[in-house]
Parts: sequence; structure tokens; C-alpha cells
Amino acid sequence: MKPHGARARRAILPLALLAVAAVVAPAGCAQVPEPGTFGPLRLAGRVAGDAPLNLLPPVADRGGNVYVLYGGIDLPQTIVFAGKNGGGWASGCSLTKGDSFGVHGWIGYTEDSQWYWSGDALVQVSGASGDCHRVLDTDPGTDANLLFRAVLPWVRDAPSRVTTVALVQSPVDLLPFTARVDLEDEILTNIRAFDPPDAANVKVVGVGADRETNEGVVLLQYTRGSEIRSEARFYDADASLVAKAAVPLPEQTTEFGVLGFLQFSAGGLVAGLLRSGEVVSFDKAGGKVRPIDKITPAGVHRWEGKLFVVGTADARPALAELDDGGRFGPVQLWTSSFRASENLRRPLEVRDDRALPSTTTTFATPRSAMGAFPFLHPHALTRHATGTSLWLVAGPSFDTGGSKVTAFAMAPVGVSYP
Amino acid sequence: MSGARAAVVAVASIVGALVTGPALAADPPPKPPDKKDAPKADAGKKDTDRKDGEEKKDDAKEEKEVAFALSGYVNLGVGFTSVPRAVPRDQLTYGLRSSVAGLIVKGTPLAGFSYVVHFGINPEALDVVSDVDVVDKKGDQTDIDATTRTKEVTLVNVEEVSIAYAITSFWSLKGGHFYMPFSPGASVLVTRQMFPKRPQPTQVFMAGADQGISTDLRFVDDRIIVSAGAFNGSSLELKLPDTTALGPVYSGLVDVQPFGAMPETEGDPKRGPFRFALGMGGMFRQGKLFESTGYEATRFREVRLDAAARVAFRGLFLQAEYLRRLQTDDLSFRPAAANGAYVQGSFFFPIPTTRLAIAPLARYGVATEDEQFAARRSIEIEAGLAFFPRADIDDPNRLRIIVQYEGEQRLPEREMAHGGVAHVQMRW
Repeated sequence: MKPHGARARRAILPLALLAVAAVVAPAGCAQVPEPGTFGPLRLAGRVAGDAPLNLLPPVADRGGNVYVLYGGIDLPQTIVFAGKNGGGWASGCSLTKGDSFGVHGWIGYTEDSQWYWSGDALVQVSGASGDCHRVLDTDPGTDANLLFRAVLPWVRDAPSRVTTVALVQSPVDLLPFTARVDLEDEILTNIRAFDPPDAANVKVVGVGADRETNEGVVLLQYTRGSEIRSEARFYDADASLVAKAAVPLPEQTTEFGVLGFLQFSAGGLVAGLLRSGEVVSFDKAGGKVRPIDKITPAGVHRWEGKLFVVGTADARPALAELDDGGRFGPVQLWTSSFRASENLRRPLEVRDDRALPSTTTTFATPRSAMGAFPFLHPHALTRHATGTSLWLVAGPSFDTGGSKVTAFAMAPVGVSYP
Repeated sequence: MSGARAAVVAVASIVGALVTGPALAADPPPKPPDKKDAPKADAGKKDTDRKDGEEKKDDAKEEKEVAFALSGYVNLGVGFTSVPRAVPRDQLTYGLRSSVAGLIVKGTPLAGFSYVVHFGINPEALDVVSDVDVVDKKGDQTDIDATTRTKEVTLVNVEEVSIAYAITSFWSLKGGHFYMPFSPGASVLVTRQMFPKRPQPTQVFMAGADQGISTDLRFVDDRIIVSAGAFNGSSLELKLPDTTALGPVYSGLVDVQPFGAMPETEGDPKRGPFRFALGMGGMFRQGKLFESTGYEATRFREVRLDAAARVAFRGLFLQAEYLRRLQTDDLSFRPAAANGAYVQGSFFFPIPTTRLAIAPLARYGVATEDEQFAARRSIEIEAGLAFFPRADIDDPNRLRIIVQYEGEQRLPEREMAHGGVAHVQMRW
């Protein structure tokens, strides 16, 4: 018979292990910043104008490199600022194509690259070097100029291939083609002609995509005879049409009537803010265009699978949630935007790592680089980490021979909706 | 030690020291010289007619004198992989799978001092870029591209180069290049694995051997094993490329086997009584990250945790592990978090009236990376049958044939890969 002491020791050991686990396990949990609280600021560069600046909310790739895009849909100029994950910035990439439209937005990322769509160009930016180049600037077979009429904002980064879906057209084509764009080998596959073939005046109104469901959508309008048709066309990752829905859009005089990109909710609703100030929402069965009057809208955002119309109400940042039927919820104060605005009312220390080794400077009177308040932008915020996104803070402005330039810095910031 | 043997040891050590790369397996820490499983260069020559006491005395004498023992293994697998959504070239591939030939040199040249040199040669050559040319596609500097030339290189992976000192019969020190004490599944010797490959979730947390020192404490007939060490972290994949991370890694593992020592292999070929083991491992690292100029960029902290459970009973062997990683830094404000878990099992079944045995095998694993940014999940499913043509020998794993299915799913991209592998392991 074994002594009681030995038995007790054996019983205690597993319990001791569990106790150690209980103590050590919290060390594996990450802290989430308070909504509206800024993390360390990194000076990214200077751009023309004074705040609010023509900048898009920053994005990151999987490796942690960050990217800032200067431009806008009505501004034919494009500048990219790429910040390396371990310090250092590269700028100078200004690729676009055509002068009818400027920056549409960021398309997607891989481990160390981002792609943006500007004018009729799809451009890859390397986070490691800051270099950029046009994807399929010309058709590899015919050398014809290739125009990206629409790019679904989603890069499918699978082990086998890296792709996106686009509507492409050359100047000699009457109608665009849908295609899967292989972003590594830069080839077009699964090319399909536009249907119906007798369509004319195809206008892309907006694009959107959802990484979780592996689907994207193009909202477009075209004429067939004297009839004007507005449709949402849903595509899968292979550029196959999976659904088509009629959306009662008013006649579009120009392309890209949706500000920013269309956003998908977890429930399958797609919504976007039209230039007219109305909200278009639809799913695979159909949709509606609704006016919104209790808020001055800036855009439609997606956060944690939910959709929100964001803007201002009573001179304060506000938002209204969209339910899966596209109906607006009550208008609420957007507290994290308001707190972020309050947190910009004091001088902020900024790390200047544009040239290494990095130095430190101060923004004496910081303010949000875009929008009336932080986070108000036609483009939705992207998730940088749990409860965290990226935003830009404007610093001092300078006169340079009659034109103004403004320094700006990028910072992670705590976000919640509302 | 004879001159020839000394030369071989020296050559093996130099090869091990010169060649670096991702490692395949670890060897358990050397035990004190009075342990019964210390190197036995000529164990087969024992006179079995002698009494046990005399045998042990002779063994101890031999162990003290053994300065060199050579062992090794050849693992060869052939298989195919199907990825239906890949480009046509990659939709069906076939060739060698999980193939490696290993050499292990170990010995106890002086009482209490032992060494291990273990390296593996992978016959599957790796394409490496040997030259890069910048191409001006249009001749007007508007479309610059780069072309690369590649060359096939055969890898020699260093698993372990270490020296150990047994302070007492239960306490030892070890230094060199070897696996950190952290995860049983990530560091098991390649020939002791249940499947030809390690559990995929463990690869996210531990890539190979590291450089450092560790100490082992073994109590109550090896039923409680406590290991702790300090390493330089060269095997840990830091999620900030193009930077240099400096800072020691402190690592530890506690493994409790209350009903007796668990089998050394991931299986129970000896069909022993009921035993189980609970283990917990951890790593902590706090260091500085340096920019490409050599100046400090930021400071980082990293925690990796592991919890493992194993059960063996009459040929049944079950093993499960949960792993978690969290890395934070002061610059990016983006915690790099990952977690993974797997469960695997086998049942060793000797076929009556023959010297054959079979063992059905199964494994399911899940790993989630970048869960704070854009979660990416890999699901691993493996199932197969192991054949042991010589189940009558002391260690049936010396000759083992496995036929298995291996599948992997990647989410949210919804990409599937399926494969089949036939694998032979021979140890000598």
C-alpha cells in the first residue's frame, strides 16, 4: 500500500498545472484600446491643401505595412505613401490611368502588398519597397490598352493563386468583359462577354465585395434600346455570375455614383451612399433607394458585420444602423468619433521615421486629416486589430509659393460603432 | 575513442555547425549516464545468460566508455496532391513527400558529459533564386520588371548539436542548438511521430530548433519532468519582416505522467497499462526590434502557451494540444495573435499468429492566424493505416509503412487540397 503523502502529491500535481494555466493564460490575451484613443503617430508625409485633405483612410497588409492614398474620384492626381512595418516610409508612386476619374480606393492585400484602383488602372504597391506598377496595363496578347472599368474590392489570397474580379475593356471594345485577374502571373482568365450583347452606355455605379462570403458585386446601369436598366450583379471568386438583382436607381448622368465602395452586411444586405445623398440598399432579390434626412451622411460603413450610415447631426458625429431590410435605425451620437476629436485638442508627439533613424516631432495643433470629425469618410474604416482602425491626423500647413501643403501622420485608433 | 571515430564525429559536428535551416525534429535531452537507455553501441552483443545485476554493472561500465554511437533513419514517402482551384500546372502534383534521411551521432565520452549531433538530408531539392535581372519591357523605362533565375539546392537541416552534463541522476544541463522545451508535438523526434508530418497547427508556433541552454529535472521515476531554458529565438517566426529582433526567449515545459512514463513514440506499440500525461509549456520574450539602419524601431513582447494531454492504454494512444501566440509591439498597435489545436489517435493492433501489426491513425487540427486583423484558418484532416512488418521486435517503429489521406482546407478562401501518401520509415 502506498503512503497517503505520495497519493496526495499525485493529486496535487494536476491541480497545480491547472492553477498555473489559470494564471498564465491571461497573458495570451490582447488589450483593446479605448474607443477614440490614438496610438503612436507616424509622420507619413505632406500633401497639397489644408485639412480636410483628399486622403483615404489608411489600410494595412497582412505583414503590418501601412498604406496611405492621396486622391479622390474627382481628382486625377494620385500619390501613395507606404510605411514599412519596422519603420521607414516610401512615397512617390503616382500611377493612374486616364483623367476622367481619380482614386476609387484600395482593393485588397496579401502578405506584403496592396492594390489600388485609380482611374482605369489597377496598381500593385509593395509594402517592403514602396515600388508600384500597373497590373495588365496592356492586353498581353494584343498589346491593346486595357481599362479597368470596375474592380471588385477584394483580393482572394489563397495558397494556389491570388486573384480579384474585374470588368475590363479595351478602347476598341463596345462593352466590357468580366474576368478573373490573376495578380501574381498578371493574366486574365474566365473572360466572359457582357450580357446582353446589345446593351449600350454601360455605367458602373459602384462596386463592393465581402471577403468572408467570397462574393463581390457591381452595381451598373445600361440602356437596351430605349430602356434604362439598373442591376446589381453578384460574382464569385472565379468571376462567375451568381445572381442578378434589379435596383431602381435614378438615371445616372456619370459613372461611380456611389461614394466609396458598397458594403456587405453579414446578413447579405449591400448598401452604399449615392452622390445624391440617398442610400441604395439591395440583396440578391432586389433593392431600394431611400432618402435619409436625420443625418447629413458621409458614407456607409461596415463594422463587425453590421452596416451604418455615418455623418453629422447637430454638428456632432452621428450614425444610424441599417437593418437587414435596409431600414434606418435611430440616429445616435458616434461617441468614439467624438472622443477621438476631443483627443486631438492637445499637442501630440509624432514619430518621424520617413528617414531612418527616426526622430520625434510635435503636432502643436493637430486635427483630423479627413472629414468634419475623425472616421467620417465615404470609405469605410478597415479593421487593423480588434476594436482598432487607422486614421490620419493633420499637422502644420505650409505655404509653398502660393499653394499650401500640409503634413499628416498615421495612427492606430480605438473604434466602436456606435 | 579511435582516430576514425573521432574524425567522423568532428566532420559531423562541423557539418552541423555550418549548415543552418528549418529543423525537422528534436532529440530528447540526454539522460545521465546511469540511465538504462543511454547510448549502447554494442547492445546486441549482451550475454543474455548473465544475471540482471551483473548485466547492469556491465552496462554502466559500457555507458561510461561509449564515446560514439551512430544511428539513423531513412524516411521515404511518395504521394500526390490535388488542388482543384489551382492553376492547371498545380492541380495535380506528385512526387516525394515527407522524405528525409537522418544521421544521429551521440555519446558519453566522459562520465556525466554527453553530446548529440543530429542532422537530416532532404532529398527534395528547393528552388532558390540565384540571379535577378531588371528588364525594361518597352525600352522606355515605363514598364520595368525583373526576371529571376533559380537553382535547385538540397537542404541539410540541423536538428541538434548539443552537449549535456548530468549534474545528478535527475538533474542535467544542456547547451547548443536544439528544440526549446515547449510543445511535445512540435519537438518530437521525426521517427517517433504518429504521422510522417508533424501536426500542422504546431508549425505555426514552433518552426525548428533554437540556440540556447536548458536544464531538465526528472522526479519520481521520470513521472514529473520540468524543463526550462533560455534561447536566442532564432526559430521563432516574428511577424515583422525586414527587421532584426533581439531579446532572449525564456521557455519552460512541465510534463506530469502520474501513472508512469508515457511511450517515447506517438503510439503505444508495447500495449502497456493505462497511463496519461498532462503538460504545459510556455515561452516569453521581450526584446527590441531594430530598423534596417540598425537603430531601434520599437520594443516587442511575445507570449506562447501550450497545453497538452496524452493517453496510452493497451495499444490506444491519444494526444491533444492547444497552442496560443500573442505578439505585441509599441509601433504597429496590432497584436499578432494565433491559436491552434489538434487531436490525433492511433490503435496498435498485432495480427494474431503473425509478426505483423497494423494501426489505424487519424488526426484533426485547426490553426487560426492573424485573428486580430483578418483571421485565416487552416483545417487539417489526416487518416491512414500503419503497417508494422516486424511487430515482434522491441521497437516496431524501426520498420513502418503508412498509407494515408491528407486534406487541408483554407478559410475564408474556401480552398481545399487533397492528397494521398505512401510512406516507409526505416531506422537503424
